[in-house]
Amino acid sequence: MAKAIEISALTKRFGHDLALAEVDFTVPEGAVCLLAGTNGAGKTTLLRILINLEQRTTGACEVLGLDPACSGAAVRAQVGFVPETTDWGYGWLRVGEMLAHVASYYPSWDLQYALELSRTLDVGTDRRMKALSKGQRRCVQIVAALAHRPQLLLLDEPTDGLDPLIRDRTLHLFAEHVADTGCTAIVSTHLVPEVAQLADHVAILRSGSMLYQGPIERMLGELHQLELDAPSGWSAPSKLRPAVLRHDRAIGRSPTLLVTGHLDFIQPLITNSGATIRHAGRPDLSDSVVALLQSESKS
Amino acid sequence: MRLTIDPSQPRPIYVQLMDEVRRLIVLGELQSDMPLPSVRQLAADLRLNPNTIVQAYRELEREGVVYVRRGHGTFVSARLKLPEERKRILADVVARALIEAQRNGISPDEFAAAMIEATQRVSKGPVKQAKDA
Repeated sequence: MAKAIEISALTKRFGHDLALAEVDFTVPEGAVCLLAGTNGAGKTTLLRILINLEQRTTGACEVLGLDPACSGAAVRAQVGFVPETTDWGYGWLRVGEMLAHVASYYPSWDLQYALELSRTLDVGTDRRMKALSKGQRRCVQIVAALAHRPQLLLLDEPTDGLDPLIRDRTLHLFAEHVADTGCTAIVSTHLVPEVAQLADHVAILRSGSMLYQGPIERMLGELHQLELDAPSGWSAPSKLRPAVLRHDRAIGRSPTLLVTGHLDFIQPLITNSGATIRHAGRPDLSDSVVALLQSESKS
Repeated sequence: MRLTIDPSQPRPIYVQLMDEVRRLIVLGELQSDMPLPSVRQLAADLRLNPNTIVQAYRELEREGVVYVRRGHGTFVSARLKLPEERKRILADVVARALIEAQRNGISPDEFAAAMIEATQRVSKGPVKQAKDA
């Protein structure tokens, strides 16, 4: 499958601070990738490097077949970007003028679609930018990102500041846009459940390093949520410990484990330690992301 | 017609979608040669990744539950064996209930006995009322 984004050994330093360390990251064409991570993990920096708003320190980076460091403008012309900040400047412009200004950068701007998007998101075109609330400015940014029907969407906390109704409409628009255009998208968010069903890939960043990336189904297929019947004071046998991402003791004799690896390998280890598996199931995406982030911080 | 998906359920979403389509067929909401919603419409309505829907439809096609007419859409198969689909749904419902029972420390035998008792209570109820009336 062709790659929309291909990054290898990418490092970004801000002075002495290491923002991204030797990051490898690939997103196949047509995938919707959820980019999760802790605060300050480098998600925003990574997205900004993809459209050359930040320059990488070392490493290779290809976006839609182009190197953003050499062809920044050409890449940006094909990308719909919702930045992390809603502070856009141009406070004196009316929303309609702002959108017309943005439109002038994109030959593929679809005026009809822009009007439709503005209606759906309740964006009044007569109001001045500085008079808008954070959520309303966010809506203008979403219109600007979608209206030129980009091949690649980079959404940095896209639903931040939106009320529940507009949030729902936004997710509807994103799903519709992906279905219509078959575009690739990266959605950086702290609200994993919100975009869990829209995404089919996941990438998890922690302190500038890529912890995990791949199809969501593969990740969830590698993880097992085990409910055990165990004697009191039971703890995971040492051979099993590296595979345990989370151990919830809760109350009583039924600890819950989130483990990675093959059940054929895990099951005998648990049985030999005096416990039995009462139920083995698939964990939920949000739990898995949290567990992976936690597990890595322990080591 | 309504398809419902629960992302917090442990079953993959495409499997949930397949089950929903089967359920609507067995309930008679979807009949032979009726079109399924387009991928675009369903993706937007359920806020789902279109690839998930494509995958569910593809699997259903492989199982012979639906057929695709290129450029027209996906339709419910005419050669569907409804009793078999019903059996399959029943097996799924039972399997899920058994897992729930097991989680609550109830053995399959206990569960079956309680199920029979509950069923008799339900079937007795209306009969009694009818007699009284």
